[in-house]
Amino acid sequence: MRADGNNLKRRESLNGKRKRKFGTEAGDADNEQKVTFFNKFNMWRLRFSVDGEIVLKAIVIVLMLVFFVLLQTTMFTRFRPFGSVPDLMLPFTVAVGVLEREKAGAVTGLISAFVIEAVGGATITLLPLLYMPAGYICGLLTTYRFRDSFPVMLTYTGISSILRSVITVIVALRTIFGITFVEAITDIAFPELIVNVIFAAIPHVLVRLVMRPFHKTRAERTGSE
Amino acid sequence: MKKHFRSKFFYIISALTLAAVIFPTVLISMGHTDIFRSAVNTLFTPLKKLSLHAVDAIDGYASYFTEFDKLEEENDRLKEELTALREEVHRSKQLEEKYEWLSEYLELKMQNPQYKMKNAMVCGRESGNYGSVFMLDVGSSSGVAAGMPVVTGDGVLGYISETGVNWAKAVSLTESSSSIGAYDERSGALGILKGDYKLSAEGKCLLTYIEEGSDIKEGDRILTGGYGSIYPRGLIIGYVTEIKTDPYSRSITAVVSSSAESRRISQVMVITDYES
Repeated sequence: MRADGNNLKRRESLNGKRKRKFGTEAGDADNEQKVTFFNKFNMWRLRFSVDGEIVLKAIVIVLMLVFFVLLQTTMFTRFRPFGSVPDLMLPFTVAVGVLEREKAGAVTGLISAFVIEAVGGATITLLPLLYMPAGYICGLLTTYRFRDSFPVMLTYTGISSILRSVITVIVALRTIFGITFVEAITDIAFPELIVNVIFAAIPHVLVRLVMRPFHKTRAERTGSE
Repeated sequence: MKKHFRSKFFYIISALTLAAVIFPTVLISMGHTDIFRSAVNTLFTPLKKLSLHAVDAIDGYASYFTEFDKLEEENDRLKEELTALREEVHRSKQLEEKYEWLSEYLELKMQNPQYKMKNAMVCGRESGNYGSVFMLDVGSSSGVAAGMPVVTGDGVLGYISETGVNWAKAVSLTESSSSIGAYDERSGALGILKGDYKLSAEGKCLLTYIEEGSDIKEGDRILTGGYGSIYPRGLIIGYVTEIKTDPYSRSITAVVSSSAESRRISQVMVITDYES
């Protein structure tokens, strides 16, 4: 996402083309205005590296998000493995954060939390406080501290699931009448924690499979030398 | 890494996160729904419907495999229930038969209080083609003796021809060797009821020596005469099914169908004593 040397070259080249095309050197006022607009647009586009691949990546992430929301709210609410509905959105956020780094992770976390809270019909909205930092921190840790590996992913998943259970306990104590702290832990949070860790494999594997083509070089993608 | 937590992006996303936490919670507590949540739900509702259809289909398909053990258990349970119900039906049928038998017994006893009767079970039939000799499970130890009449609720079956300590043989009225006095209940015409070799297979016998000019008709009920016979008077023998007239002797012969259908009898009563 950062503007690198290639982007700067592309920017200069594009500016030169635009100037030649709209004849700014001739001093025409209208053309001057259009050039300014295109220049500004291209500057903005290049600054944020808004190219086709990023748009495609965003669409793929959104589609996966929709898929996991539906999977969680329809399939797993029906089958309820071990009597609990697994949270697929948190491992999805963590996976996106690890693979696409902190900004994508944070945005995905925020949107995932908002959507799952909205679709799930929660009365207390606390999940964005967990999901957004989870995506952001996992992305940062992958960039600066730990390489992406299975133990690292497992650690991220375990810690995030424990924090998710803490939120579950808070929400349960706040919304379920007459439930004790111990009951909230033993009857709700603990089974949920186990199920979350087990079923976290689904988002992790799917996100890796789907995002793999975006992490290949052009040569790897085209099979050229 | 610390600079990332002081970046503009982090501030913006944190502000949005707080907004995503605070606004919906406040609005929900006030009984409202914010426009974003409403939009998300509007978008996801048709998708969820579609997804639920898919889940239903998967559920239905998967249940063939996942619920196999459950179905097997249910099948075993149902088999056990079926066996128990069959036994119960069998028991009920036995009780019904017993009830019918006791009802007949009671009726006969009430109609003829002067009879002393002994209940007996038909435990076998003589291995002949016509099945007109029955083995009963009572014998001399129960006070049963040869020559005693054997009846059912429907009428006379025959008489005891032979007894042991705990068994007795009863010969049917339709047996060719049988011969007793009988009369037509409606007209009072007298005759001799005899077994017939050919008719016994059909459970029929002949009422012979009926006086010429007697008004006997098909459908008439024939009863035991009681005169010098082992049978008391008035027991039902059967019904006239056919009238035959001998062209030479001018005597009338009637074919009588026995009321006590011998082939299906399982319980009988032996009249051990009666006041004539």
